[in-house]
Amino acid sequence: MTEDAVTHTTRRRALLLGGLGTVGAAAAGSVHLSRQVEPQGHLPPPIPFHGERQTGVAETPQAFASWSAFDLAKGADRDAVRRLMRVWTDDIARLMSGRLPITDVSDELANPSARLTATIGFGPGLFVAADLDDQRPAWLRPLPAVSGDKLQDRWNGGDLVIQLCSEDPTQLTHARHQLVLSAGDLVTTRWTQAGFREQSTGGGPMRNLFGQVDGMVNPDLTDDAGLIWHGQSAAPWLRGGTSMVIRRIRMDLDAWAAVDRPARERAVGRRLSDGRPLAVTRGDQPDLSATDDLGLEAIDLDSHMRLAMPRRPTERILRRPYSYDDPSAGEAGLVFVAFQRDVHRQFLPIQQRLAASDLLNIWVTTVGSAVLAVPGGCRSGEYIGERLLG
Amino acid sequence: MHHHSRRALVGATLLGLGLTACGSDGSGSAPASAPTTSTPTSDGLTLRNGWAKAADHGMTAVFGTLRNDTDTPIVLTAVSSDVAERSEFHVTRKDSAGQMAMKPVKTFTVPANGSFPLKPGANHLMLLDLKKPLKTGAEVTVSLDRRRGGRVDLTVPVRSFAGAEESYEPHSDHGAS
Repeated sequence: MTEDAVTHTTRRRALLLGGLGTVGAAAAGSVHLSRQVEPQGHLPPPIPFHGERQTGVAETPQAFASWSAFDLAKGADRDAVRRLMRVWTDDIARLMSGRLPITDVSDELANPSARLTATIGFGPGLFVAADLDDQRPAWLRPLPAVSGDKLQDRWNGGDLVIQLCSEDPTQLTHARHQLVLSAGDLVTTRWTQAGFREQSTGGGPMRNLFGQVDGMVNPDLTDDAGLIWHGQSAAPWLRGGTSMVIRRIRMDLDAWAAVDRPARERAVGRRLSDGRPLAVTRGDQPDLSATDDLGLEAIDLDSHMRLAMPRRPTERILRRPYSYDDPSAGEAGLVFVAFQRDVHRQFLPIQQRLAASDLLNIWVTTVGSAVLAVPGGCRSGEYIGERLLG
Repeated sequence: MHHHSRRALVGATLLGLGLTACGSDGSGSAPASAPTTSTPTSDGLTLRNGWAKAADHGMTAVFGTLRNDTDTPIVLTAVSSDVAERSEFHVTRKDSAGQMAMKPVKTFTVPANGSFPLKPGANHLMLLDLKKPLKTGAEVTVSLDRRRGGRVDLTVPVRSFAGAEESYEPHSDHGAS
């Protein structure tokens, strides 16, 4: 095989294996070659749809994602929501298993190997429409306004949000379009966002468009599952469920380009090269008391990292961010997605500290915000939200 | 309401379906874990992946794959539903002007140990003069009368669908199988 052919084949393999989180590793020469001798057909299996929890939370983030917010049609009642969830549950179960919605005739677009996941979140308006407001968790309401936010209604809220994630952007778009079609006149689309993850890290923390390692600190989903998932103490519909916060954060790439590396590192409190805190203890933890030659804090008091660190053990969240680029609007940034059991106890304190004094605020502005309750998963024959909607 | 653009779309749909309609129904090889909508009935007749197109009024259609797991052909002689004034077996064929149009037939025959696909742009069960809206996500029951074996009730989900807008040309009288 010529060298060109080797490169070509390997590149294709790397793409195919992207779902296994090996794209990043494949960039290194030795791994590159070892991939070549692996047997063909080593594609990731579909992620199972049925289960205690919805998908798209705990799974290693896929390369691409979209978030679509919907408003229920005027006059929609509990029966309408029930019918919508029956339709979407059936469609999603089929799409995730590599088949197509029952009404879909584009057979060739089915893809069982792109790790499609779907996460349905309920907004406050759904509880009102379904006459179930007494079931709405206290934390399920818009985040309180904080200084610096420039929220635009076209990126805010929604009675329902579907997060779709996939290694294949074609599958992602097709799935989203089919779900919109299937909903018929039950909903109108409020907003749609799309995101992508930097690929060299192969599913680990990604680099955002500022070049920072983003979403580094996440709870261990085995030991700290209780930080993310609701358990037996929750209402039946919320068991195995969580909350999803979606923040659209515009990043001023032009202004950032003018910032030198020391100032960039100071703003985030981490080295750009590998995301390591600017000062660490022997146990490799951020050393918040360390000082530099001038006697100043090595990790700036207003650095993003210091402010985002938990002040209480409960102030921890699962970060699942994606970058976005909207060239037609001249805008790029981060779709910051966070999952936690309780938005007010876990997310809000961090957000308020960051809003008050994060050095990064010079270059970032939140323009959209949504808070959703993510019901637990469903068994075969059940639909998502059935334990709430009856 | 059936404009030329609609007809062109239907024609395109049929071309696409030609790839799959002659073979198996395309859903039979699904993994066991995959969801299926199968309405079990007596005597080996089932409707797999059945659904009806949502409609507020007028007419609509039921699709899916009729499956006969017996050793003899099943001849269906009538279709009916509580939600429609009348119901018919329809085939979609080119009319004299070269456009695709639906035509009623007297019977559908599901071959022994075989399938009879009902698809947009092809054979389907037609519900006419709806008595009430068929809402997205609801269910509807249709009844099929067999030449031998009596009536079979099939309940399918109602689904929103952009296609299946063929023009209707009654007064035809062909059987289909």
